[in-house]
Amino acid sequence: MNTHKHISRRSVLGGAALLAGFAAAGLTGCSASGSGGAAQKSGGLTIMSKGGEIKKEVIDAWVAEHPDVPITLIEDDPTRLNAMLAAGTPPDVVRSLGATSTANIASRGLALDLDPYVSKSTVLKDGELAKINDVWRWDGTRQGEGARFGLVKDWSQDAMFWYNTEAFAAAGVPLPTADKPFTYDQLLEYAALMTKRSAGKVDQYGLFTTAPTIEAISSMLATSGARAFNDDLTKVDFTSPEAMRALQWHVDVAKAKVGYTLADPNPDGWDWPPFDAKRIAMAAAGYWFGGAVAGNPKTAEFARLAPAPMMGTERVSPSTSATGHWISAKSNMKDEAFAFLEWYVAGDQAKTRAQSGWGLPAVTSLTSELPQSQPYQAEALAVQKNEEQYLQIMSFSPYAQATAVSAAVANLFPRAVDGSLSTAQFADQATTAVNELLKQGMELAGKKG
Amino acid sequence: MSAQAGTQALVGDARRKRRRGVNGGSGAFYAFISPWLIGTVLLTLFPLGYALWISFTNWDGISPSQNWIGLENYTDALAEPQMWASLQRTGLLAIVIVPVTICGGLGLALLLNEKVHWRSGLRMLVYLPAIVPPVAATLTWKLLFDRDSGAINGFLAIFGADAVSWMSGNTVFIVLMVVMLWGIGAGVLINLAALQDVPAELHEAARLDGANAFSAFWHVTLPSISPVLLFQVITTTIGVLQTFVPALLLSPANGPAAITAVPEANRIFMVDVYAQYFAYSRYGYASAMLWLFFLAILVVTIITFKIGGRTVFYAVDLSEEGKQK
Repeated sequence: MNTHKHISRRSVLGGAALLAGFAAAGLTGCSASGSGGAAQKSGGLTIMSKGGEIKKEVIDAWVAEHPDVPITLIEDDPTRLNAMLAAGTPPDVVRSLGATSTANIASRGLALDLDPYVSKSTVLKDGELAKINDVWRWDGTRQGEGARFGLVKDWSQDAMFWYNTEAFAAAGVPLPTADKPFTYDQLLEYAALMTKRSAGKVDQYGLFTTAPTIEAISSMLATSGARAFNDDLTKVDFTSPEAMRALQWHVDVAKAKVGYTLADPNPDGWDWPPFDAKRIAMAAAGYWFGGAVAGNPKTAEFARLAPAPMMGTERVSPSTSATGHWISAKSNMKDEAFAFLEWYVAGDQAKTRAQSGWGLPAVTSLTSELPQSQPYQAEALAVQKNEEQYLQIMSFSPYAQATAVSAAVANLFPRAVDGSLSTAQFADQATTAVNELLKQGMELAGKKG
Repeated sequence: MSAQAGTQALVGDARRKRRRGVNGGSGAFYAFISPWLIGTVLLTLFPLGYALWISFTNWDGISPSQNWIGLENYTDALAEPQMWASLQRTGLLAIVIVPVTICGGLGLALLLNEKVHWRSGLRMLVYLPAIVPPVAATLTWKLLFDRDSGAINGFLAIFGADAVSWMSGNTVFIVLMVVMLWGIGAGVLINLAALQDVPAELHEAARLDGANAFSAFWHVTLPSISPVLLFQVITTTIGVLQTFVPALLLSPANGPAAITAVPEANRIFMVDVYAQYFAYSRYGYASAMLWLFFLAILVVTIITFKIGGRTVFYAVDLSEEGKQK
């Protein structure tokens, strides 16, 4: 009798297909079970954040106090987050920009409602939370109202900018003051005076890096009492006179070549390196930039903080990031995740961060910790304190991601700069492109586009 | 049973055994190949099928629902000027890079096949860029081409030329091509190996027949290495069409924002696909783009094979080999 076990090509192929089928079913199963949050409660907290922010010593400090709740830190990566969400196994805590992500994550049921936790917290008393935390509120139609879906980590008012006093003095440009911000037209005019070129090279740009992002456009519109989104956040309109003016300003900057733009990109990716090297006279950044300035005493001598410029007549200085963290609604360690957030935004770690100057604290009790020993720090804090009264929470649509909206506008920008598109055509086509994205988001949310 | 019938029965039995994989060698074969086979099914065929499914939906990557929209993504993609523009750029890249890589690689290989001083050192120098990690190479080129502090503009300044904004406008496409051609050494190595495999007696015979250097190259060397050249044409074409990382690394922005900041001239097909996935969250549309691209690459490869089949010289006479069997 032949007892030899045959392994045929057919059986191998069949087995492989069967295995793939099981894997597929398994993956689908994971996804399905994930929606019910059936995963085991073990292994500690998984936090998706930036390694440079939550450093090893922070994790060590947490584990020393909470030995039963270890932390697994995974690098902030939207692609990975999407994959984890799709698989139904999101991280317990996720870093996000509250200003542009709150509506999106809250309306999709991804984020945990933190109100019950905050109301019970002995660390985060409601009155002690800085107003900026309201950016993380969403009531289904508006940001700034309703349940709280995240907590700010450190924050700034992002339309503000830093400037080089020496470059301003050399060009005879008046310095901005806390109570008298520049207009955008003045910025363009003064930037031209401070831009220096030689043999095709730019020795110094006058203006900070600009891009027609939805955040930048919204900030400009807010000073005219206008908005990019309609009331129910289902559409944008860049063809309004105010929005056209904002787009035109960005086109004018690129044409005038007085700062890095999408047509002439900043090779460093952000404004600190060229500002530190005196290659730009202004840097687009809020109060947090002071943390970088502290690293170079020479830069500290000429760096000063200016209030947000104005396009219209109304002073508005929003936070277009309000960086913080949200807890996954599917987390099975919700209590531990909130305990971590409490500890991180209001504990000793938050105090250390406040003292460093890398942003404003999320709780008012730590404001006194902000650095003011150096002249630039004292002046920046004074400008910031005055600016806070103009903080306004802007609603961002839940039906698209800010990167997608900004990319749709940026896609058309080069043609507006080279003259292939008039500003009116640019505005019209950008409106159509973004509304198409919003329509798709609404369809997925089960709403009529 | 006659002798003929007995022989037929033995042959038939042997064939059946061979088909069923009776002998132990066959089992070992499948055991060894199974990791690859299972990997292909799980990591290639399953994702391909999943991407095909997604391409018929309007899924955004994170929403719990995936609405079936039929062929809408495909019709949208085919009607989208941006997709055709990125395809055109990719095609242009292939038209430039593939011939330059193949011809340049062959030319360098011919030179390095000559008996010259420091031949080994020169071969190493030519091959060296091919083993530098592409990320490091691209970022180095990015620094070299920087308008205000790059060495290229510094060199041009010696001749009194004004600085060029290499990293913006259409010139950034030139930078992309330079980055891609920098790794030409890999092709040189393959061509060198092929050249050294050409039988010396063929060249001797050609010389005796009075052939000059060009004739010997054209009638002896080129046909002899033509299968290797066809292999390079196919793999280089597919590689160039799928180019993504250098274009992304030449973006002025870092991190997730990099994809939205890629200058228009460098928005080649895979950059467009990546942006549709991860910047615009149009997973369905991007998957449809990928499937269209997959079919396009398949067609290009088949055409290359067909043309190659008529021009490539194989040393083994397939008809003779068939007769022996």
